[in-house]
Amino acid sequence: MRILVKVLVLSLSFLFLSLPTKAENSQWVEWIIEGQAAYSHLDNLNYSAFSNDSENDAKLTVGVVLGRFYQISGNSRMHIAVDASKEQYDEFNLWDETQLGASIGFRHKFGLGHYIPYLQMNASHRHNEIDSDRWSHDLSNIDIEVGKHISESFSIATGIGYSLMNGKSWQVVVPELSNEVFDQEYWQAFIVADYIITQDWLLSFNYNYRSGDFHSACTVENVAKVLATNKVKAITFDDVFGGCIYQTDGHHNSYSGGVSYALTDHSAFNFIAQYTDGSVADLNYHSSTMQFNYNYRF
Amino acid sequence: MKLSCLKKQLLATGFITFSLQLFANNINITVIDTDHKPIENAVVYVKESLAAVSENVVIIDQVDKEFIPYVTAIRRGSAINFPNNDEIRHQVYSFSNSKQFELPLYEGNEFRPVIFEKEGAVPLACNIHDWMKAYIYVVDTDKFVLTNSNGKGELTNLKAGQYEILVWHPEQGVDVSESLQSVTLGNSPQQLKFTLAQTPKFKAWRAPKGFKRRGY
Repeated sequence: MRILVKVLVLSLSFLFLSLPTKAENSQWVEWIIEGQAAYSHLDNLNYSAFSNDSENDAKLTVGVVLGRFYQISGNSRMHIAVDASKEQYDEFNLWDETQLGASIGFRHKFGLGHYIPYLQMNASHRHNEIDSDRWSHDLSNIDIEVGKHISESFSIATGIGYSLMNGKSWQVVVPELSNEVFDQEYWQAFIVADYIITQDWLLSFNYNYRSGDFHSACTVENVAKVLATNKVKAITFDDVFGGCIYQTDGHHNSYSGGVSYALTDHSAFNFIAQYTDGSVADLNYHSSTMQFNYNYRF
Repeated sequence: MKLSCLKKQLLATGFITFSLQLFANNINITVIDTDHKPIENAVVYVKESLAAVSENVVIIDQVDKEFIPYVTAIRRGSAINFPNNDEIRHQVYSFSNSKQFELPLYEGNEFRPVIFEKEGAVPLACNIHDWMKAYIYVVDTDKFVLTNSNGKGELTNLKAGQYEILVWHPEQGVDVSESLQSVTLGNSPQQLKFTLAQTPKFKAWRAPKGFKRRGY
């Protein structure tokens, strides 16, 4: 699967680089210039299975995206973009993060008209540099999505994604277990629905199902309970929350609701609430996030 | 001699203008919704069928990925040119009963008029940018007006007589024929008020959304 991801990303990149500057029916078109500033409050940001060691914090995020579309035909276009963001936590400063990434995508609409469905494929690679170096990792993702407008005010999209995470080796805690907690692989399936209330207000809903590896942090006193599940695949010491970070695999459901208020055609205030739950053996994981953000798109 | 001719011409022009004013009058229109708020961009027109068609050419521009203006009223037979003043390509189309057409991906201001020979509403869209939306309304009369932001419009230079007036708006909740009002125009201007029930219509969402995007 890792090879398939690399082949797909390289193929898309090669295809992109080989595109002519301007051909009969194709050309580089609009630029992608986006900026975001967000304030988030996170409950159980360490995604602990134990209420006595779950942590809460708030963070500020600023981010930019720069890219450009290439119009292939009246129905198809590609994009290439780079992005950068910085996250600053209020309390857990060792979790402060800088992200650098790039993405490439292809979108095809199956004909002419507002209600015609589209197919979109995306590939992205992102480096997440975290102040606590052991948490730093690279994340590669591919996904495929189909969507359509159901009515003038309601649209829906669904898809699947595959992600590969690659992190660093750190101290060995249990000799029989790997210490590469951030070498992970997981699948996701998602449904996104948007409903326009008025021309200025938008409601969004997002359901995400994730299956595969994930990580969690817990204090030393709970490590034995985690190891007792026999589901831990990797574990190492943690300097952010003061215990261990471990990798296991399981299923998670994530439910998000959002409200957007369009200030202009190019900018909006957004409020998002997200709740995630998952389980591995007898352990249950819950977390929630509330975010208020301002987005600008050129 | 030349001065004398000019005087005669000026006098004649003045007389004609005076005569038109004497025998022509206006209907002042107000269009509001059921909450008494003014409705902008309502097409108010006299119900009639003219034998001749117009040869006018009207412009609907494309700027910052929007059609300008949002509503255009034209007389049957008029042509509309769709210049593209964005530096990217647009693909304009309509599936309406009154006119079906498609302008495949294009850019620039090249003259490529589309002629509208049938009465009725023609919704416009762009296949690349889903939020781009506009309306053309084709009428079979030369007596029509678009209401301003105060919901006001004026049908001018009408001769005395009986008229049937109709109103159309993109968000009109009922058939245009249900808006019909009759008015008898004498020597003084008439006031006419229309109250339209509206069904909201939305453009696709354009502003950035809050969720982290998977792609574009």
